[in-house]
Amino acid sequence: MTVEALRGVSLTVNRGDFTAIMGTSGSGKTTLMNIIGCLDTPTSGTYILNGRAISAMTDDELSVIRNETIGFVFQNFFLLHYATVIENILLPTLYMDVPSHAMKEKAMELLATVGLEDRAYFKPRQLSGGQQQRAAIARALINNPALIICDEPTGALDTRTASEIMKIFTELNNRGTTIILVTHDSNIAAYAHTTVHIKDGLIDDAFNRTPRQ
Amino acid sequence: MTTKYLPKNIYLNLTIAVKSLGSFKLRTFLAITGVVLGTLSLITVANTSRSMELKTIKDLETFGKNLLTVKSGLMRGHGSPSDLAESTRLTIDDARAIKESLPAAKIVAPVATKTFPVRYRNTTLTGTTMMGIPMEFFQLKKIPVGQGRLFTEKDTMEKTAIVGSKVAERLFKGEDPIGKTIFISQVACEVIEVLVPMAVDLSGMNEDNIIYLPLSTFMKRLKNTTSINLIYVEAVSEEAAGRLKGEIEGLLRQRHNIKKGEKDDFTVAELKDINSMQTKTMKIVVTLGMITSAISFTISSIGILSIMILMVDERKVEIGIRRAVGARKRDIAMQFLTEASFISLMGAAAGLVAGIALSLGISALAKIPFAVSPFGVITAFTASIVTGIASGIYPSVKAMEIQPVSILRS
Repeated sequence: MTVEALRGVSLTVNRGDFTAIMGTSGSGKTTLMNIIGCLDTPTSGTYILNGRAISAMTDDELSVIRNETIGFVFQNFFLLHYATVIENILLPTLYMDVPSHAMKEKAMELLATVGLEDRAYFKPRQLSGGQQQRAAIARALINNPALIICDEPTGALDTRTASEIMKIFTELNNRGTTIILVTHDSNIAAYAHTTVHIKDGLIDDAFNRTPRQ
Repeated sequence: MTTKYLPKNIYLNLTIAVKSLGSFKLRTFLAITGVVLGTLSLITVANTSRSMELKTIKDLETFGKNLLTVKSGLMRGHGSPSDLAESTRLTIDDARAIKESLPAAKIVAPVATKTFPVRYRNTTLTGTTMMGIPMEFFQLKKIPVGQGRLFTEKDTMEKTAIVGSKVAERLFKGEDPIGKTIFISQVACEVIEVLVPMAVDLSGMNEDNIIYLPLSTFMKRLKNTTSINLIYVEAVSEEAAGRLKGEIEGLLRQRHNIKKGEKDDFTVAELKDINSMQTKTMKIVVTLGMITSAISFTISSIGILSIMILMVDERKVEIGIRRAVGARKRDIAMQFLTEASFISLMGAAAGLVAGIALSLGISALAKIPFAVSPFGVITAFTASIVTGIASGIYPSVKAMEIQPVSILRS
């Protein structure tokens, strides 16, 4: 039996946008996020990222696209607890064709950006939840991504820490990074400029908010 | 494709791998035990075999290729000297007869041995072998002259002695032995030379623990019989050596009145026979070592396989993250193959160190030169890499099948 998670979604996200995708669990927002994040391909239809048709790509090609153009931030941070913060941040560079010393410098700069410059050689478990998420954001930025996808980035954090993390995303967006935020929390979605509601695999136009200018 | 498996990637990957192994220290240790033992056994037999080869080469250099030995008693098969039936029928006259009637014999040196207590001042040694040798002995055996001198014509009936390095060490305790008087079973002898350390000779005798005396002095003053233990015969040429063996056998059977059908009471051997016998024995040891090592590597590959399956299972999230941030399936496969090989190589390194230590110990105990066999080292490392890769294949395939989507939303 085939379940259709998405049934005809048409969505355009422009460079520099800050878009929230909202929906209850089972709405299809995760599937949409997986497609946007090049982790999955749609059974039909097209997805164009940076002018390239992603929907027809092989698994290897998708890996390269993720490596070059996308940064991921997850609800559970997904840091390797046995590696140091700096090693975690350098993880994507293992699959890049760049000199390691340059990448290490860049990782240290990013750590400073997220306010963790003195935690580079700590293990993730020695950090608070908010600090771990900051480290994960630094990891998502190491490849200068055209697009950052955040999947419930504040889901595991308290309200105060959550707003600190959202401030970081706002700042990144102000500097030109395109952000797609997946959440079920309207308070978090409020940080985005555009909100797209997903319901039963379709975009629910009734709730959609136009970009505030 | 931009992604490449660069050396720096291997380094960071291994750093992460080693850290992730941290929670399985004991299991990892057990998994590589087989590689350690396999390498240990391989390195040890290969090094020892190489040492034996060097020893043989050295022996052939000291003795020359044309040497034959005539031993008193019949050696039953290729046994040790303890298999020799005691016989007292080999005499100096036999040696003289060989020299006089067989033109193929260039140098003939009869040798007699017996153990006597030896004393210098208050120190008495009991287990020292005295060896009566003719002057010709040093023509057969190239012995480097130390601070003293070797026997000359004048020493024939003199009470002079040449002592082995070990005897000198234990008897004189640092004093200069040359010119000192030692008492061999009440007979006062003057030490004229100390030999450099020589180690075990082909007959299994430790030459450093011997005191050499002029043969006639030894026979008349100490042994009191005419029977000798061994005759060294050097043939005029390598071709003559084989022929000479038969001639000596014929001559001695005649002299000892051995009738047709009766067994010899002596054994004639060519040096190269003794060596080839040792080589054969060593080959068996090497084969056994190789089998042991192959079994160890096989067992270890199962151990590494299980630790790698565990690792892949334990690091599903890591694989998911790596895939999300850009690792291709083949990068993941490569990572786990590298890790499996690395674990195996660590075992090989440990085994190499242990194997070298063990073969050093064997060389020291057996008094043979120490050598590292390049064959052993190359084989061990190849085997460990093969073991690592072989046991990494299945876990790598399992790891490749992990999809980031299924992991990152759990």
